[in-house]
Amino acid sequence: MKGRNEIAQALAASGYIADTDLATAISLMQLLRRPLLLEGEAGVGKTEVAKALANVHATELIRLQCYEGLDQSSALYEWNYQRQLLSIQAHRGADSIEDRLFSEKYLLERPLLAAIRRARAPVLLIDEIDRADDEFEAFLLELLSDFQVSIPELGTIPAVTIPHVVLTSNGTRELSDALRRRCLYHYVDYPDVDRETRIILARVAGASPSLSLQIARMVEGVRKEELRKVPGVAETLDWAAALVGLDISDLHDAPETVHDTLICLLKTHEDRARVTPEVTQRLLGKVA
Amino acid sequence: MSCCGSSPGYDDLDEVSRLVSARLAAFLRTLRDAGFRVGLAEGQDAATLMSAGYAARPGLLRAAFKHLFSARKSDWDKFDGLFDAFWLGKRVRSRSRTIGSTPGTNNPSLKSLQDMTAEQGGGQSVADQLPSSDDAPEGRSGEGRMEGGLARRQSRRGRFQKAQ
Repeated sequence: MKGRNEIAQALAASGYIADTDLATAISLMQLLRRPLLLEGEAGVGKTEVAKALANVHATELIRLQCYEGLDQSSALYEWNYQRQLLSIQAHRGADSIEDRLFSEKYLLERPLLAAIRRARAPVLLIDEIDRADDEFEAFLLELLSDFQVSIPELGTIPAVTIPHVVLTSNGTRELSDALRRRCLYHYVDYPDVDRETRIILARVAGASPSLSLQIARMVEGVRKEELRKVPGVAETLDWAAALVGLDISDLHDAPETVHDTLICLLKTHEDRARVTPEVTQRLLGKVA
Repeated sequence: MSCCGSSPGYDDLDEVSRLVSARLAAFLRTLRDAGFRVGLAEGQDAATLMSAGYAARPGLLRAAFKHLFSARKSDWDKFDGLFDAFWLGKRVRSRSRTIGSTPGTNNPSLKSLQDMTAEQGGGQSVADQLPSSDDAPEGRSGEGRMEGGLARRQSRRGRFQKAQ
């Protein structure tokens, strides 16, 4: 088992700057074999954790994107009906074909089944679980408790390896206590200035340390404004990339450009109207 | 979901392990009283962590317990205060009730947890940082501060003697 410092370093090498709390959670995933539930606002980097974790373990990332109406056939398995029909036609008259129709040969793996049948434990990302229905959440409990699934025609399929499971939630729906209790919990907050500076340095080629610090401070100021959609880390990186692309090395040198490029951070008309040039100037004044 | 293998019965444990178990059980009860949904599986995993060396590093233990016992943002926000109040005897703003805990000042396994208080408190002793009884509202002794099982027993004994 890796210690949290080693995990933080390995994540950093994958481009994810984690705080020690998150590194601790990941080390606990391995020790206690529990899934990790990441909750937080959209855009704070929850999904990126799973991607970085797959890099750290040098393993496959299997992603299940949840949505309203997601069912077992999309998440677990489906029978390949077209192939079954073709086989029936090809073997017309043969007695044994019926017995073979519901076998591995005709089984289509979906993300959950794929995740427990890999020889090398993958990272299973169950993204935005709060968008799925209660019924699907209940179905997930069997998988997350016992790491086995039941397919009526084939019986119970136990996991070959236990995947590293990461669930994310934006909190649009309250998850059940049963699901929460099976998971380790980590609340992903917006990064502080120091961490956001390091994230920019790690992810945006050409961003200098001083510019990265200025951007992080500016974004921190923007987040404190009353906005409908608070900018996340992804927006910060977009803005940093835009500024670097425009050859800006110091925010104070180009206040107009800074204001114009704030569209990278402000994603609604209302927010754009709220951050006037005067507001931008005021925020710039607080950036050293 | 804790690690497998047969665990020793309570009678097989040495004194230190019993104290640690009792203290951990009291902490779980404190968390439940504070609204945390803590089950047996979490308790088992917490014991696994303590025996895996986390008990010797209080900062790490707090972070690990926080991930293990929190299930939602509200838990996440209040956990540190509860942990510090229970294990380190620090004041917390929110009122919490810790019950049934055993005095562990002479227990080497728990001493490291309390040593952290001294380190963080710039040389203050643990006793210096323990909240005074002034913090407790009248008639609600024990709320908002550490309350050991021994103190409770003494309190009960006093009431019993008065009744006699």
